[in-house]
Amino acid sequence: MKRLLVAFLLVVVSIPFMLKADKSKPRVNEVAPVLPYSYSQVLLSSPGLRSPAADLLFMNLCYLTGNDVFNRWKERKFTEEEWKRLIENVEVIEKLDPYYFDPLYYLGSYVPWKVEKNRELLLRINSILLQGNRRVKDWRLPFFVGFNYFYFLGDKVKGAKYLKLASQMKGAPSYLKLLVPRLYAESGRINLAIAVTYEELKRAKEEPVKKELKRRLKALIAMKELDRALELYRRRFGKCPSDLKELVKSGIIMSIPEDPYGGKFYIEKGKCSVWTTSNLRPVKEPTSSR
Amino acid sequence: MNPFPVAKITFEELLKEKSFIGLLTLEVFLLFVSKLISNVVAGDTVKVAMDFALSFFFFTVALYSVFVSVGSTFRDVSDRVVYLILSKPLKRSDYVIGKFLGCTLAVALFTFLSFFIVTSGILTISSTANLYVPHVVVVERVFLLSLLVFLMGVFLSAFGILFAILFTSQVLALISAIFLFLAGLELSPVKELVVSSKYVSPVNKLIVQIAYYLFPNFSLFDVKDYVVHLAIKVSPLFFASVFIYSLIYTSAVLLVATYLFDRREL
Repeated sequence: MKRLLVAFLLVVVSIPFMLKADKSKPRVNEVAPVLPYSYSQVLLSSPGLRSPAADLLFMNLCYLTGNDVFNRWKERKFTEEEWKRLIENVEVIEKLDPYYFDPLYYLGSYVPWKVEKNRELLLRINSILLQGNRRVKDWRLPFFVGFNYFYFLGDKVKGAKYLKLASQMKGAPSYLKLLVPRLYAESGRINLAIAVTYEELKRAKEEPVKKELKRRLKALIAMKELDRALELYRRRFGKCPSDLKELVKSGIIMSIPEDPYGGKFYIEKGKCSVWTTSNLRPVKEPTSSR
Repeated sequence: MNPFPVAKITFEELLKEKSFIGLLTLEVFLLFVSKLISNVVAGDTVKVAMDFALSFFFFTVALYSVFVSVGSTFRDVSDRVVYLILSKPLKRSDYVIGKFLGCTLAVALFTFLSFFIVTSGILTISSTANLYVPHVVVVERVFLLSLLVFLMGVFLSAFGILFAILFTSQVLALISAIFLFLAGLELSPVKELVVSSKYVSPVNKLIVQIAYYLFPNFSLFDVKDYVVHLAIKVSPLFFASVFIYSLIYTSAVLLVATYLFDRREL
Protein backbone atom coordinates (compact mmCIF):
# COMPACT_ATOMS: atom_id res chain seq x y z
CA MET A 1 0.00 0.00 0.00
CA LYS A 2 2.85 2.35 0.89
CA ARG A 3 4.55 1.61 -2.39
CA LEU A 4 1.36 2.34 -4.33
CA LEU A 5 0.99 5.67 -2.56
CA VAL A 6 4.60 6.57 -3.36
CA ALA A 7 4.03 5.59 -7.00
CA PHE A 8 0.95 7.81 -7.16
CA LEU A 9 2.85 10.71 -5.58
CA LEU A 10 5.67 10.29 -8.11
CA VAL A 11 3.13 10.55 -10.95
CA VAL A 12 1.70 13.71 -9.38
CA VAL A 13 5.20 15.18 -8.98
CA SER A 14 5.92 14.51 -12.66
CA ILE A 15 2.89 16.58 -13.85
CA PRO A 16 4.51 20.10 -13.69
CA PHE A 17 7.49 18.81 -15.66
CA MET A 18 5.20 17.32 -18.29
CA LEU A 19 3.29 20.62 -18.56
CA LYS A 20 6.51 22.63 -18.81
CA ALA A 21 7.86 20.32 -21.51
CA ASP A 22 4.57 20.44 -23.41
CA LYS A 23 4.61 24.25 -23.40
CA SER A 24 8.18 24.50 -24.65
CA LYS A 25 7.78 21.75 -27.25
CA PRO A 26 8.60 22.96 -30.77
CA ARG A 27 5.31 23.41 -32.68
CA VAL A 28 4.67 22.96 -36.35
CA ASN A 29 2.86 25.73 -38.21
CA GLU A 30 -0.67 25.86 -36.80
CA VAL A 31 -2.15 26.88 -40.14
CA ALA A 32 -3.10 23.41 -41.33
CA PRO A 33 -2.71 23.08 -45.07
CA VAL A 34 -5.06 21.03 -47.24
CA LEU A 35 -3.06 17.89 -47.91
CA PRO A 36 -3.62 15.90 -51.08
CA TYR A 37 -4.65 12.31 -50.34
CA SER A 38 -4.09 9.53 -52.81
CA TYR A 39 -6.82 6.92 -53.24
CA SER A 40 -4.38 4.01 -53.40
CA GLN A 41 -2.47 5.13 -50.29
CA VAL A 42 -5.62 5.56 -48.21
CA LEU A 43 -7.03 2.28 -49.52
CA LEU A 44 -3.90 0.28 -48.70
CA SER A 45 -3.36 1.90 -45.32
CA SER A 46 -6.88 1.10 -44.10
CA PRO A 47 -7.59 -2.61 -44.69
CA GLY A 48 -11.30 -3.29 -44.23
CA LEU A 49 -11.87 0.33 -43.23
CA ARG A 50 -12.75 2.04 -46.51
CA SER A 51 -15.89 3.73 -45.17
CA PRO A 52 -14.42 4.96 -41.86
CA ALA A 53 -11.43 6.28 -43.84
CA ALA A 54 -13.85 8.17 -46.10
CA ASP A 55 -15.66 9.51 -43.00
CA LEU A 56 -12.40 10.73 -41.46
CA LEU A 57 -11.33 12.41 -44.70
CA PHE A 58 -14.69 14.20 -44.87
CA MET A 59 -14.36 15.29 -41.23
CA ASN A 60 -10.92 16.70 -42.01
CA LEU A 61 -12.37 18.50 -45.02
CA CYS A 62 -15.21 20.01 -42.97
CA TYR A 63 -12.78 21.08 -40.26
CA LEU A 64 -10.50 22.84 -42.76
CA THR A 65 -13.42 24.48 -44.56
CA GLY A 66 -14.86 25.59 -41.23
CA ASN A 67 -11.57 27.31 -40.41
CA ASP A 68 -11.66 29.05 -43.76
CA VAL A 69 -15.32 30.09 -43.44
CA PHE A 70 -15.03 31.46 -39.91
CA ASN A 71 -11.69 33.08 -40.66
CA ARG A 72 -9.83 31.19 -37.96
CA TRP A 73 -6.60 31.62 -39.93
CA LYS A 74 -6.57 35.37 -39.86
CA GLU A 75 -3.51 35.66 -42.03
CA ARG A 76 -4.89 33.77 -45.02
CA LYS A 77 -7.75 32.07 -46.87
CA PHE A 78 -7.57 28.93 -48.99
CA THR A 79 -5.52 29.31 -52.12
CA GLU A 80 -6.88 28.08 -55.46
CA GLU A 81 -4.42 25.18 -55.30
CA GLU A 82 -5.92 24.20 -51.93
CA TRP A 83 -9.46 24.34 -53.31
CA LYS A 84 -8.26 22.10 -56.11
CA ARG A 85 -6.85 19.62 -53.57
CA LEU A 86 -10.08 19.80 -51.63
CA ILE A 87 -12.04 18.86 -54.75
CA GLU A 88 -9.61 16.01 -55.43
CA ASN A 89 -10.04 14.80 -51.84
CA VAL A 90 -13.81 14.62 -52.34
CA GLU A 91 -13.08 12.48 -55.40
CA VAL A 92 -10.96 10.17 -53.18
CA ILE A 93 -13.79 10.00 -50.61
CA GLU A 94 -16.25 9.06 -53.32
CA LYS A 95 -13.95 6.32 -54.58
CA LEU A 96 -13.63 4.94 -51.05
CA ASP A 97 -17.36 5.13 -50.31
CA PRO A 98 -19.28 5.64 -53.57
CA TYR A 99 -22.67 5.87 -51.85
CA TYR A 100 -21.68 8.67 -49.45
CA PHE A 101 -23.96 11.65 -50.19
CA ASP A 102 -22.75 14.36 -47.78
CA PRO A 103 -19.34 15.06 -49.44
CA LEU A 104 -21.13 15.40 -52.80
CA TYR A 105 -23.63 17.80 -51.25
CA TYR A 106 -20.76 19.83 -49.79
CA LEU A 107 -19.00 19.84 -53.16
CA GLY A 108 -22.08 20.91 -55.09
CA SER A 109 -23.51 23.48 -52.70
CA TYR A 110 -20.46 25.26 -51.32
CA VAL A 111 -17.27 24.79 -53.35
CA PRO A 112 -18.45 26.27 -56.71
CA TRP A 113 -18.96 29.68 -55.03
CA LYS A 114 -15.30 29.60 -54.00
CA VAL A 115 -13.89 28.65 -57.40
CA GLU A 116 -16.45 30.48 -59.57
CA LYS A 117 -13.76 32.06 -61.76
CA ASN A 118 -11.99 28.77 -62.51
CA ARG A 119 -13.75 27.04 -65.40
CA GLU A 120 -11.56 23.94 -65.17
CA LEU A 121 -12.39 23.34 -61.50
CA LEU A 122 -16.10 23.95 -62.08
CA LEU A 123 -16.10 21.33 -64.82
CA ARG A 124 -14.22 18.95 -62.52
CA ILE A 125 -16.84 19.48 -59.80
CA ASN A 126 -19.60 18.73 -62.30
CA SER A 127 -17.84 15.56 -63.44
CA ILE A 128 -17.51 14.32 -59.81
CA LEU A 129 -21.17 15.15 -59.11
CA LEU A 130 -22.32 13.28 -62.22
CA GLN A 131 -20.10 10.33 -61.34
CA GLY A 132 -21.65 10.32 -57.85
CA ASN A 133 -25.15 10.56 -59.30
CA ARG A 134 -24.69 7.17 -60.95
CA ARG A 135 -24.98 5.63 -57.51
CA VAL A 136 -26.56 8.25 -55.27
CA LYS A 137 -29.98 8.89 -56.77
CA ASP A 138 -30.64 12.31 -55.31
CA TRP A 139 -32.13 15.15 -57.40
CA ARG A 140 -29.82 17.71 -55.81
CA LEU A 141 -26.74 16.36 -57.62
CA PRO A 142 -27.92 17.03 -61.22
CA PHE A 143 -29.47 20.25 -59.88
CA PHE A 144 -26.03 21.46 -58.71
CA VAL A 145 -24.53 20.45 -62.07
CA GLY A 146 -27.27 22.33 -63.94
CA PHE A 147 -26.90 25.35 -61.66
CA ASN A 148 -23.11 25.41 -62.18
CA TYR A 149 -23.59 25.29 -65.94
CA PHE A 150 -26.10 28.09 -66.24
CA TYR A 151 -24.97 30.33 -63.38
CA PHE A 152 -21.18 30.02 -63.29
CA LEU A 153 -20.33 28.68 -66.74
CA GLY A 154 -23.03 30.59 -68.63
CA ASP A 155 -24.20 27.53 -70.56
CA LYS A 156 -27.98 27.71 -70.31
CA VAL A 157 -28.62 24.78 -72.64
CA LYS A 158 -26.53 22.36 -70.56
CA GLY A 159 -27.93 23.95 -67.42
CA ALA A 160 -31.46 23.23 -68.61
CA LYS A 161 -30.48 19.67 -69.59
CA TYR A 162 -29.31 18.80 -66.06
CA LEU A 163 -32.10 20.71 -64.33
CA LYS A 164 -34.52 18.70 -66.44
CA LEU A 165 -32.80 15.53 -65.24
CA ALA A 166 -33.09 16.77 -61.64
CA SER A 167 -36.75 17.74 -62.06
CA GLN A 168 -37.60 14.18 -63.11
CA MET A 169 -36.07 12.59 -60.02
CA LYS A 170 -37.91 11.58 -56.90
CA GLY A 171 -38.30 14.36 -54.33
CA ALA A 172 -37.48 17.20 -56.76
CA PRO A 173 -39.47 20.40 -56.08
CA SER A 174 -42.13 21.27 -58.64
CA TYR A 175 -40.62 24.69 -59.49
CA LEU A 176 -37.76 22.92 -61.30
CA LYS A 177 -40.24 21.82 -63.96
CA LEU A 178 -40.91 25.50 -64.70
CA LEU A 179 -37.28 26.55 -64.52
CA VAL A 180 -36.18 24.21 -67.31
CA PRO A 181 -38.35 25.66 -70.13
CA ARG A 182 -37.43 29.18 -69.03
CA LEU A 183 -33.72 28.41 -69.38
CA TYR A 184 -34.29 26.91 -72.81
CA ALA A 185 -36.33 29.95 -73.82
CA GLU A 186 -33.67 32.34 -72.46
CA SER A 187 -31.05 30.55 -74.51
CA GLY A 188 -33.17 31.11 -77.65
CA ARG A 189 -34.36 27.50 -77.97
CA ILE A 190 -38.08 28.14 -77.88
CA ASN A 191 -38.97 24.95 -79.76
CA LEU A 192 -37.13 22.91 -77.14
CA ALA A 193 -38.74 24.92 -74.36
CA ILE A 194 -42.22 24.23 -75.79
CA ALA A 195 -41.45 20.53 -76.18
CA VAL A 196 -40.16 20.23 -72.60
CA THR A 197 -43.14 22.14 -71.18
CA TYR A 198 -45.56 19.98 -73.13
CA GLU A 199 -43.78 16.84 -71.90
CA GLU A 200 -43.92 18.04 -68.29
CA LEU A 201 -47.59 18.97 -68.66
CA LYS A 202 -48.38 15.40 -69.65
CA ARG A 203 -46.47 14.08 -66.65
CA ALA A 204 -47.59 16.59 -64.00
CA LYS A 205 -50.19 15.41 -61.50
CA GLU A 206 -50.60 18.34 -59.11
CA GLU A 207 -53.18 20.89 -60.26
CA PRO A 208 -51.17 24.09 -59.35
CA VAL A 209 -48.16 22.78 -61.32
CA LYS A 210 -50.39 21.92 -64.29
CA LYS A 211 -51.89 25.42 -64.23
CA GLU A 212 -48.43 27.01 -64.16
CA LEU A 213 -47.20 24.81 -67.00
CA LYS A 214 -50.24 25.71 -69.14
CA ARG A 215 -49.52 29.41 -68.60
CA ARG A 216 -45.85 28.83 -69.50
CA LEU A 217 -46.86 26.92 -72.63
CA LYS A 218 -49.21 29.73 -73.71
CA ALA A 219 -46.46 32.32 -73.31
CA LEU A 220 -43.91 30.18 -75.17
CA ILE A 221 -46.29 29.53 -78.09
CA ALA A 222 -46.94 33.29 -78.36
CA MET A 223 -43.18 33.91 -78.42
CA LYS A 224 -42.76 31.23 -81.05
CA GLU A 225 -45.38 32.86 -83.29
CA LEU A 226 -43.77 36.27 -82.86
CA ASP A 227 -40.36 34.78 -83.70
CA ARG A 228 -41.80 33.28 -86.88
CA ALA A 229 -43.34 36.65 -87.78
CA LEU A 230 -39.97 38.36 -87.19
CA GLU A 231 -38.32 35.88 -89.55
CA LEU A 232 -40.93 36.63 -92.24
CA TYR A 233 -40.42 40.38 -91.79
CA ARG A 234 -36.66 39.99 -92.08
CA ARG A 235 -37.04 38.02 -95.30
CA ARG A 236 -39.44 40.55 -96.78
CA PHE A 237 -37.66 43.78 -95.75
CA GLY A 238 -34.09 42.55 -95.18
CA LYS A 239 -33.86 44.07 -91.68
CA CYS A 240 -35.10 43.57 -88.15
CA PRO A 241 -38.11 45.68 -87.15
CA SER A 242 -37.46 48.20 -84.39
CA ASP A 243 -40.78 47.45 -82.71
CA LEU A 244 -43.34 44.63 -82.67
CA LYS A 245 -45.99 47.11 -83.84
CA GLU A 246 -44.25 47.16 -87.25
CA LEU A 247 -45.24 43.49 -87.64
CA VAL A 248 -48.89 44.51 -87.27
CA LYS A 249 -48.48 47.51 -89.60
CA SER A 250 -46.90 45.37 -92.30
CA GLY A 251 -49.83 42.92 -92.02
CA ILE A 252 -47.74 39.90 -90.97
CA ILE A 253 -49.73 39.52 -87.74
CA MET A 254 -53.16 40.82 -86.79
CA SER A 255 -52.20 41.91 -83.25
CA ILE A 256 -49.48 41.50 -80.62
CA PRO A 257 -50.41 38.64 -78.33
CA GLU A 258 -50.67 39.23 -74.59
CA ASP A 259 -48.09 37.83 -72.19
CA PRO A 260 -50.02 35.57 -69.78
CA TYR A 261 -47.56 36.61 -67.06
CA GLY A 262 -48.63 40.24 -67.35
CA GLY A 263 -45.48 41.52 -69.07
CA LYS A 264 -45.02 42.91 -72.59
CA PHE A 265 -43.27 41.17 -75.49
CA TYR A 266 -40.43 43.12 -77.10
CA ILE A 267 -37.64 42.65 -79.62
CA GLU A 268 -34.17 42.02 -78.22
CA LYS A 269 -32.12 44.40 -80.32
CA GLY A 270 -28.86 42.54 -80.80
CA LYS A 271 -30.41 39.13 -81.41
CA CYS A 272 -33.58 40.15 -83.30
CA SER A 273 -35.60 37.73 -81.23
CA VAL A 274 -38.60 38.05 -78.94
CA TRP A 275 -38.49 38.24 -75.15
CA THR A 276 -40.81 39.53 -72.49
CA THR A 277 -40.55 42.11 -69.74
CA SER A 278 -42.03 39.55 -67.32
CA ASN A 279 -39.03 37.21 -67.78
CA LEU A 280 -41.65 34.41 -67.80
CA ARG A 281 -42.47 35.08 -64.17
CA PRO A 282 -45.73 36.58 -62.87
CA VAL A 283 -45.48 40.38 -62.80
CA LYS A 284 -46.38 41.76 -59.38
CA GLU A 285 -49.09 44.43 -59.39
CA PRO A 286 -47.73 47.70 -57.92
CA THR A 287 -49.34 48.21 -54.52
CA SER A 288 -51.24 51.49 -54.31
CA SER A 289 -50.66 53.57 -51.20
CA ARG A 290 -53.54 55.41 -49.68
CA MET B 1 -13.86 -41.72 -29.58
CA ASN B 2 -15.17 -38.66 -31.43
CA PRO B 3 -14.01 -35.03 -31.27
CA PHE B 4 -17.13 -33.74 -29.47
CA PRO B 5 -15.89 -34.14 -25.86
CA VAL B 6 -12.82 -32.03 -26.78
CA ALA B 7 -15.15 -29.50 -28.42
CA LYS B 8 -17.30 -29.34 -25.28
CA ILE B 9 -14.33 -28.89 -22.95
CA THR B 10 -12.81 -26.24 -25.23
CA PHE B 11 -16.08 -24.33 -25.43
CA GLU B 12 -16.60 -24.37 -21.65
CA GLU B 13 -13.02 -23.34 -21.05
CA LEU B 14 -13.25 -20.46 -23.54
CA LEU B 15 -16.41 -19.09 -21.94
CA LYS B 16 -14.58 -18.76 -18.66
CA GLU B 17 -11.82 -16.72 -20.26
CA LYS B 18 -11.51 -13.04 -19.48
CA SER B 19 -11.06 -12.19 -23.17
CA PHE B 20 -14.70 -13.19 -23.83
CA ILE B 21 -16.27 -10.71 -21.47
CA GLY B 22 -13.37 -8.26 -21.94
CA LEU B 23 -13.86 -7.94 -25.68
CA LEU B 24 -17.65 -7.68 -25.31
CA THR B 25 -17.16 -4.83 -22.84
CA LEU B 26 -14.71 -3.24 -25.26
CA GLU B 27 -17.38 -3.42 -27.94
CA VAL B 28 -19.87 -1.53 -25.77
CA PHE B 29 -17.19 1.09 -25.13
CA LEU B 30 -16.41 1.32 -28.87
CA LEU B 31 -20.10 1.94 -29.57
CA PHE B 32 -19.88 5.07 -27.43
CA VAL B 33 -16.70 6.02 -29.31
CA SER B 34 -18.58 5.61 -32.62
CA LYS B 35 -21.33 7.89 -31.35
CA LEU B 36 -18.77 10.50 -30.24
CA ILE B 37 -16.95 10.40 -33.60
CA SER B 38 -20.21 10.73 -35.50
CA ASN B 39 -21.03 13.93 -33.58
CA VAL B 40 -18.05 15.64 -35.19
CA VAL B 41 -19.11 15.10 -38.80
CA ALA B 42 -21.50 17.26 -40.84
CA GLY B 43 -24.56 15.62 -42.39
CA ASP B 44 -25.63 12.03 -41.85
CA THR B 45 -24.23 11.26 -38.39
CA VAL B 46 -25.96 7.87 -38.24
CA LYS B 47 -24.09 6.73 -41.36
CA VAL B 48 -20.75 7.63 -39.77
CA ALA B 49 -21.65 6.04 -36.43
CA MET B 50 -22.67 2.86 -38.27
CA ASP B 51 -19.45 2.83 -40.30
CA PHE B 52 -17.38 2.92 -37.15
CA ALA B 53 -19.56 0.64 -35.00
CA LEU B 54 -19.70 -2.06 -37.68
CA SER B 55 -15.95 -1.81 -38.33
CA PHE B 56 -15.27 -2.23 -34.61
CA PHE B 57 -17.65 -5.21 -34.56
CA PHE B 58 -15.90 -6.75 -37.58
CA PHE B 59 -12.43 -6.39 -36.07
CA THR B 60 -13.43 -7.43 -32.54
CA VAL B 61 -14.83 -10.74 -33.79
CA ALA B 62 -11.70 -11.28 -35.90
CA LEU B 63 -9.42 -10.59 -32.92
CA TYR B 64 -11.47 -12.82 -30.63
CA SER B 65 -11.29 -15.70 -33.13
CA VAL B 66 -7.52 -15.40 -33.41
CA PHE B 67 -6.96 -15.04 -29.66
CA VAL B 68 -9.09 -18.00 -28.63
CA SER B 69 -7.87 -20.42 -31.28
CA VAL B 70 -4.17 -19.66 -30.84
CA GLY B 71 -4.39 -19.21 -27.05
CA SER B 72 -6.43 -22.33 -26.35
CA THR B 73 -4.27 -24.65 -28.49
CA PHE B 74 -1.04 -23.25 -27.05
CA ARG B 75 -2.32 -23.51 -23.46
CA ASP B 76 -3.11 -27.20 -23.96
CA VAL B 77 0.50 -27.83 -25.00
CA SER B 78 2.17 -25.59 -22.39
CA ASP B 79 -0.04 -26.85 -19.50
CA ARG B 80 0.55 -30.41 -20.76
CA VAL B 81 -3.21 -30.98 -20.95
CA VAL B 82 -2.67 -32.33 -24.44
CA TYR B 83 -0.78 -35.37 -23.03
CA LEU B 84 -3.73 -36.17 -20.82
CA ILE B 85 -6.18 -35.90 -23.69
CA LEU B 86 -4.09 -37.88 -26.14
CA SER B 87 -3.57 -40.66 -23.57
CA LYS B 88 -7.27 -41.45 -24.11
CA PRO B 89 -8.35 -43.44 -27.15
CA LEU B 90 -8.50 -40.32 -29.31
CA LYS B 91 -6.82 -39.67 -32.63
CA ARG B 92 -4.67 -36.56 -32.91
CA SER B 93 -6.78 -35.37 -35.84
CA ASP B 94 -9.92 -35.73 -33.68
CA TYR B 95 -8.28 -33.53 -31.07
CA VAL B 96 -7.64 -30.80 -33.71
CA ILE B 97 -11.20 -31.08 -35.05
CA GLY B 98 -12.58 -30.96 -31.50
CA LYS B 99 -10.50 -27.89 -30.73
CA PHE B 100 -11.81 -26.25 -33.90
CA LEU B 101 -15.44 -27.10 -33.11
CA GLY B 102 -15.05 -25.73 -29.59
CA CYS B 103 -13.61 -22.47 -30.97
CA THR B 104 -16.43 -22.33 -33.54
CA LEU B 105 -19.04 -22.55 -30.79
CA ALA B 106 -17.31 -19.83 -28.77
CA VAL B 107 -17.03 -17.60 -31.86
CA ALA B 108 -20.72 -18.22 -32.63
CA LEU B 109 -21.77 -17.13 -29.14
CA PHE B 110 -19.43 -14.14 -29.22
CA THR B 111 -20.74 -13.05 -32.65
CA PHE B 112 -24.35 -13.44 -31.55
CA LEU B 113 -23.82 -11.32 -28.43
CA SER B 114 -21.85 -8.75 -30.44
CA PHE B 115 -24.67 -8.61 -33.00
CA PHE B 116 -27.10 -7.92 -30.17
CA ILE B 117 -24.90 -5.17 -28.69
CA VAL B 118 -24.15 -3.49 -32.04
CA THR B 119 -27.75 -3.65 -33.28
CA SER B 120 -29.13 -2.19 -30.06
CA GLY B 121 -26.45 0.49 -30.19
CA ILE B 122 -27.05 1.61 -33.76
CA LEU B 123 -30.82 1.49 -33.35
CA THR B 124 -30.51 3.77 -30.33
CA ILE B 125 -28.14 6.13 -32.17
CA SER B 126 -30.47 6.24 -35.18
CA SER B 127 -33.59 6.90 -33.11
CA THR B 128 -31.95 9.72 -31.15
CA ALA B 129 -30.26 11.41 -34.13
CA ASN B 130 -31.58 14.76 -35.32
CA LEU B 131 -31.59 14.40 -39.10
CA TYR B 132 -33.73 16.05 -41.79
CA VAL B 133 -33.89 12.72 -43.59
CA PRO B 134 -33.78 9.83 -41.10
CA HIS B 135 -31.21 7.11 -41.77
CA VAL B 136 -33.09 3.82 -41.83
CA VAL B 137 -31.38 0.86 -40.12
CA VAL B 138 -32.40 -2.55 -41.47
CA VAL B 139 -31.76 -5.16 -38.76
CA GLU B 140 -31.94 -8.04 -41.30
CA ARG B 141 -28.93 -6.54 -43.07
CA VAL B 142 -26.98 -6.32 -39.79
CA PHE B 143 -27.89 -9.96 -39.20
CA LEU B 144 -26.61 -10.99 -42.64
CA LEU B 145 -23.36 -9.14 -41.95
CA SER B 146 -23.12 -10.96 -38.61
CA LEU B 147 -23.50 -14.32 -40.38
CA LEU B 148 -20.63 -13.46 -42.69
CA VAL B 149 -18.55 -12.17 -39.78
CA PHE B 150 -19.21 -15.48 -38.00
CA LEU B 151 -18.01 -17.41 -41.08
CA MET B 152 -14.91 -15.22 -41.12
CA GLY B 153 -14.34 -15.96 -37.43
CA VAL B 154 -14.58 -19.70 -38.10
CA PHE B 155 -12.17 -19.35 -41.02
CA LEU B 156 -9.71 -17.40 -38.84
CA SER B 157 -10.03 -19.94 -36.00
CA ALA B 158 -8.89 -22.67 -38.38
CA PHE B 159 -5.85 -20.56 -39.29
CA GLY B 160 -5.25 -19.80 -35.60
CA ILE B 161 -5.12 -23.53 -34.79
CA LEU B 162 -2.85 -24.16 -37.80
CA PHE B 163 -0.39 -21.45 -36.70
CA ALA B 164 -0.50 -22.63 -33.08
CA ILE B 165 0.57 -26.08 -34.32
CA LEU B 166 3.07 -24.72 -36.84
CA PHE B 167 4.97 -22.28 -34.59
CA THR B 168 6.58 -22.86 -31.25
CA SER B 169 6.02 -19.29 -30.08
CA GLN B 170 2.54 -18.09 -29.20
CA VAL B 171 3.35 -14.45 -30.00
CA LEU B 172 4.63 -15.44 -33.44
CA ALA B 173 1.47 -17.48 -34.09
CA LEU B 174 -0.75 -14.58 -33.00
CA ILE B 175 1.11 -12.02 -35.11
CA SER B 176 1.12 -14.35 -38.14
CA ALA B 177 -2.65 -14.89 -37.88
CA ILE B 178 -3.34 -11.16 -37.52
CA PHE B 179 -1.09 -10.30 -40.46
CA LEU B 180 -2.68 -13.03 -42.54
CA PHE B 181 -6.07 -11.50 -41.77
CA LEU B 182 -4.93 -7.98 -42.70
CA ALA B 183 -3.27 -9.26 -45.88
CA GLY B 184 -6.44 -11.15 -46.77
CA LEU B 185 -8.40 -7.93 -46.38
CA GLU B 186 -5.99 -6.06 -48.67
CA LEU B 187 -6.03 -8.68 -51.39
CA SER B 188 -8.88 -7.31 -53.48
CA PRO B 189 -7.76 -3.64 -53.33
CA VAL B 190 -4.17 -4.61 -54.16
CA LYS B 191 -5.32 -6.62 -57.15
CA GLU B 192 -7.62 -3.76 -58.23
CA LEU B 193 -4.73 -1.26 -58.08
CA VAL B 194 -2.04 -3.50 -59.56
CA VAL B 195 -4.06 -4.80 -62.49
CA SER B 196 -5.25 -1.30 -63.49
CA SER B 197 -1.78 0.25 -63.12
CA LYS B 198 0.43 0.80 -66.16
CA TYR B 199 3.56 1.04 -63.99
CA VAL B 200 3.47 -2.57 -62.75
CA SER B 201 5.32 -5.16 -64.82
CA PRO B 202 3.35 -8.11 -66.29
CA VAL B 203 5.35 -10.55 -64.07
CA ASN B 204 4.33 -8.72 -60.90
CA LYS B 205 0.75 -8.55 -62.14
CA LEU B 206 0.83 -12.30 -62.61
CA ILE B 207 2.24 -12.83 -59.08
CA VAL B 208 -0.48 -10.66 -57.58
CA GLN B 209 -3.15 -12.49 -59.55
CA ILE B 210 -1.86 -15.89 -58.41
CA ALA B 211 -1.80 -14.62 -54.81
CA TYR B 212 -5.34 -13.34 -55.30
CA TYR B 213 -6.56 -16.80 -56.28
CA LEU B 214 -4.66 -18.78 -53.63
CA PHE B 215 -4.52 -16.50 -50.57
CA PRO B 216 -7.56 -16.49 -48.22
CA ASN B 217 -9.76 -13.57 -49.27
CA PHE B 218 -11.12 -12.03 -46.06
CA SER B 219 -12.51 -8.97 -47.85
CA LEU B 220 -15.39 -11.19 -49.05
CA PHE B 221 -16.82 -11.17 -45.52
CA ASP B 222 -16.79 -7.39 -45.35
CA VAL B 223 -20.27 -6.22 -46.41
CA LYS B 224 -20.54 -3.27 -44.04
CA ASP B 225 -21.44 -0.96 -46.94
CA TYR B 226 -24.43 -3.18 -47.70
CA VAL B 227 -25.70 -2.54 -44.16
CA VAL B 228 -25.06 1.21 -44.20
CA HIS B 229 -26.29 2.07 -47.72
CA LEU B 230 -29.70 0.65 -48.51
CA ALA B 231 -29.22 1.41 -52.21
CA ILE B 232 -26.70 -1.44 -52.43
CA LYS B 233 -28.25 -4.74 -53.41
CA VAL B 234 -26.53 -8.10 -52.90
CA SER B 235 -27.77 -11.28 -54.53
CA PRO B 236 -28.36 -14.44 -52.47
CA LEU B 237 -25.83 -16.08 -54.80
CA PHE B 238 -23.11 -13.94 -53.21
CA PHE B 239 -23.93 -15.21 -49.71
CA ALA B 240 -24.11 -18.81 -50.96
CA SER B 241 -20.74 -18.46 -52.75
CA VAL B 242 -19.05 -16.98 -49.67
CA PHE B 243 -20.47 -19.77 -47.51
CA ILE B 244 -19.21 -22.50 -49.86
CA TYR B 245 -15.83 -20.76 -50.29
CA SER B 246 -15.22 -20.49 -46.54
CA LEU B 247 -16.42 -24.07 -45.97
CA ILE B 248 -14.02 -25.50 -48.56
CA TYR B 249 -11.05 -23.32 -47.56
CA THR B 250 -11.59 -23.96 -43.81
CA SER B 251 -11.66 -27.72 -44.49
CA ALA B 252 -8.39 -27.42 -46.40
CA VAL B 253 -6.74 -25.48 -43.54
CA LEU B 254 -7.96 -28.05 -41.01
CA LEU B 255 -6.60 -30.87 -43.17
CA VAL B 256 -3.17 -29.23 -43.15
CA ALA B 257 -3.46 -28.62 -39.38
CA THR B 258 -4.31 -32.30 -38.67
CA TYR B 259 -1.49 -33.43 -40.98
CA LEU B 260 1.03 -31.24 -39.12
CA PHE B 261 -0.29 -32.19 -35.68
CA ASP B 262 -0.01 -35.90 -36.55
CA ARG B 263 3.69 -35.35 -37.27
CA ARG B 264 4.47 -32.93 -34.47
CA GLU B 265 6.68 -34.09 -31.64
CA LEU B 266 5.06 -33.28 -28.33
